[in-house]
Amino acid sequence: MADLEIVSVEKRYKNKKVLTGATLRENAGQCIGILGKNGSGKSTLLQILAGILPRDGGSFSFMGKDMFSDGKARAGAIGYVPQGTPLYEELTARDHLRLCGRPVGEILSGRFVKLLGVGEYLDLRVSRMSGGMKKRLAIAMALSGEQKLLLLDEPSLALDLPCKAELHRSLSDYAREGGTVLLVTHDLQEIAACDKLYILRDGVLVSCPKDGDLSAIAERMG
Amino acid sequence: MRVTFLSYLRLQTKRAVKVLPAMLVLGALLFAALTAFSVYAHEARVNDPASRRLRVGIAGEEGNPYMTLAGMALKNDSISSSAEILRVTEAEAQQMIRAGDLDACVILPEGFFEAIGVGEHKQIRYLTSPYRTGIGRSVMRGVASSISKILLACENSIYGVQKFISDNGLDRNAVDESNVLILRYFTKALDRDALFETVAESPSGGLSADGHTVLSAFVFIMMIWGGGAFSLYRADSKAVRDFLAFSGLSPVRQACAGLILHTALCTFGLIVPAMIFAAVCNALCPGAFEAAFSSGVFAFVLRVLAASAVFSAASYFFYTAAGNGAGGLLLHAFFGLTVGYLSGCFYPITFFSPAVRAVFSLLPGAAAIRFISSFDLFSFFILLFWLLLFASSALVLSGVKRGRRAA
Repeated sequence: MADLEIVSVEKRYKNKKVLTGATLRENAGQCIGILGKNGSGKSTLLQILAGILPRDGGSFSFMGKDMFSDGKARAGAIGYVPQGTPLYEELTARDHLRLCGRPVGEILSGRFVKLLGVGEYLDLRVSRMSGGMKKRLAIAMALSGEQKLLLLDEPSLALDLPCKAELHRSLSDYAREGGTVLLVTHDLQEIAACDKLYILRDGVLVSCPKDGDLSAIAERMG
Repeated sequence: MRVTFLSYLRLQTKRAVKVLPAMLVLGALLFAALTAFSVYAHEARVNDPASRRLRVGIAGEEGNPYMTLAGMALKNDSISSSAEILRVTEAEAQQMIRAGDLDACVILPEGFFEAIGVGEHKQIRYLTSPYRTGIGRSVMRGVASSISKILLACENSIYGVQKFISDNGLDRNAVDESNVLILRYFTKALDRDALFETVAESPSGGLSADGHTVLSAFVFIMMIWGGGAFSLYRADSKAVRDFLAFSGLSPVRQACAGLILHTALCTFGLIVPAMIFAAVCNALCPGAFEAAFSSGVFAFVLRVLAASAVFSAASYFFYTAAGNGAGGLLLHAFFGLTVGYLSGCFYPITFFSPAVRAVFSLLPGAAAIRFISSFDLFSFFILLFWLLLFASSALVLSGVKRGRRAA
C-alpha cells in the first residue's frame, strides 16, 4: 500500500462532471506535480483533498489514515496553501504565525519551518516582503504543526525568477526531510523540480513521464 | 494547524488598531467639515433677506368663507412682514415642506370657525419643516392673534347689525338675538386661549431639527466610515477564506469575529472624534457651540453604538457578498442612504402614507429615533430586539455567503 492514496475522487458542478475518478498512488518524500489545462479541475481536486470542498465520491488516505473521515488527522497531517496569498498586508510575519495556535518560537524551531528561513524576517510587514518571502511565510503557516503532506496551488504564480528559485529550494529541502508535496502548477521550473508528474485530463489523473519534452507534455494535456 | 476564534480575533484586533488612526483623522475632519458647513449655512440664512422671509401655508376646509377671511387676516397680520401666506391643502403642504418650498403650515380642522363661534373646543395642528422647527412657536403666536382679530371683526359686524336694527326700528327679536351673540363673544373673547389649542404635530417623529441634522450627518459618516473599514476587507481575499476554512475556523465564526471588531472599531472611531471636537470647540469658543453642538454630540453618542452594530453587520455582509472592498463600499453607501432616508433620518417618516410608515418604522433608524424620543425601558428593549434581529440576520447571511465562497 502506498503512503499517499487518492482513489476515484469525483466531483460534479451541477451537470458538469469535473472529476470522474481521479486516482493517484505514490510514496512519501516526493514532490508530485499535477498539470492540466485551465478549468480541468486541478484546484478543485486540491480543495477536496484539503477538506474545503465536499466530494461526490472517492477516498483519500495518507500514511494509512483516512483523511476524508478524520478531520483532526487531516489538520495534523496536511498543510494547504491556496492559490493567491492568504496573508494580511499590514501585519508582520510574527503576527501571522501567532494565528496558528502555537507559540511562534515553537513553530520556528520545527523541522520543516526551519528550512523556510522565516525567522530572518519575522518582524517585517507583509506589504514589504518579496513574493518569495510571502509564499514561504504562507507555507510556514501551513506547516506550523509539522504537517508531512503539503498541498500547494500554483505556488509560483506571479513570482520572479529569484523568488521561484528560493521557493523551489525550500520545497526540495522539505521533500528531502521526508515531507511530501502535492502541487498544482503550470510553471516550467516547478515541473522540472517535481519527482513525479500527473496530468489531469477529462477528470482523471494520468501519469506523465518526466523525461518527455514540453511539446509531448502539452500534447498529453490535450 | 488549528486557527482558533480567539487567535483570529486577536489578529483582527491588531488590524483594526492599525486602521484606527486613519479613522480618527477621517472622523475629525468630517466633524470639522460638517460644523463649518452648518455654521456657514446658518450665517448665509441669517444674512440673506430673502431666506429670512418665511413661507407659511394655511390649510383647512375648502370653500369655507371663514378660511378666506383667515387667510386675509394672516396676510394683514404682524407676521406678514416676515412671512408669505399661502392657501394650501394638507397634502400639498406636506409635499411642499418636503421639497423645501414651505417652512410651516397651519392646519385648521373642519368647522373650526363655526365651532369656536359657539364656544366649542378645537385643536389647530401645525406642521413645520424639520429644518425650521424653531419657527413653530412664532407662527402659532401669529395665528392666535389673527384668529382673535377674526373674532373681533365678527363682534364689530354684530355691533353694526345691532346698530342698524335699532336705528331703523326693526324686529325686536333680532336685536335680542344679536345681544346674545355679543355676550357670547365678549365672554369668549376674555378667555380666547381656552377656545382653541395649538398642537404641534411633530413632523420629525419627536426629533428636533438638530436631531435630523445629527442623524443625517451620522448616516453620511457611516458611509465614509464604511470606506475607512474598507482596508480591513481589502486583503480578506478568497485565499484567506480558504485558508481559514481549511484551518478549522468556520465561516460563521469568521463573520462573528469580523462583526465584533468592525462594531468596536467604528463606535470608537466615531465617538472619540466627536468628543475631541466638542471639547476643542468649547475650549476655543465657550458657549458659542454649546447649544447647537453639545446637544448634537450627546444625541450622536447615544445613537452611535446601536447603529454601529447594525451598520457593521450590514457592511460586513456587503463586503462579503461583493467579494471585494470596492464593491462592498458601494453597496454599503447605497444601504446607508436608503435606510437613512426610509428611517426618517433625512425627512420625517410622518410624510409617508400610514401603510408605508408601518413598514419603515421597523427599520433600525426609525427604531433608534423612537428610542431617543421616548427613552424608556420598554422602547429600549424593542430597539434591542430589532437591532439583534438585523445584526443576526446580516451575520447569518455573511456566514452563509462566506461559506459558499470558501466552498
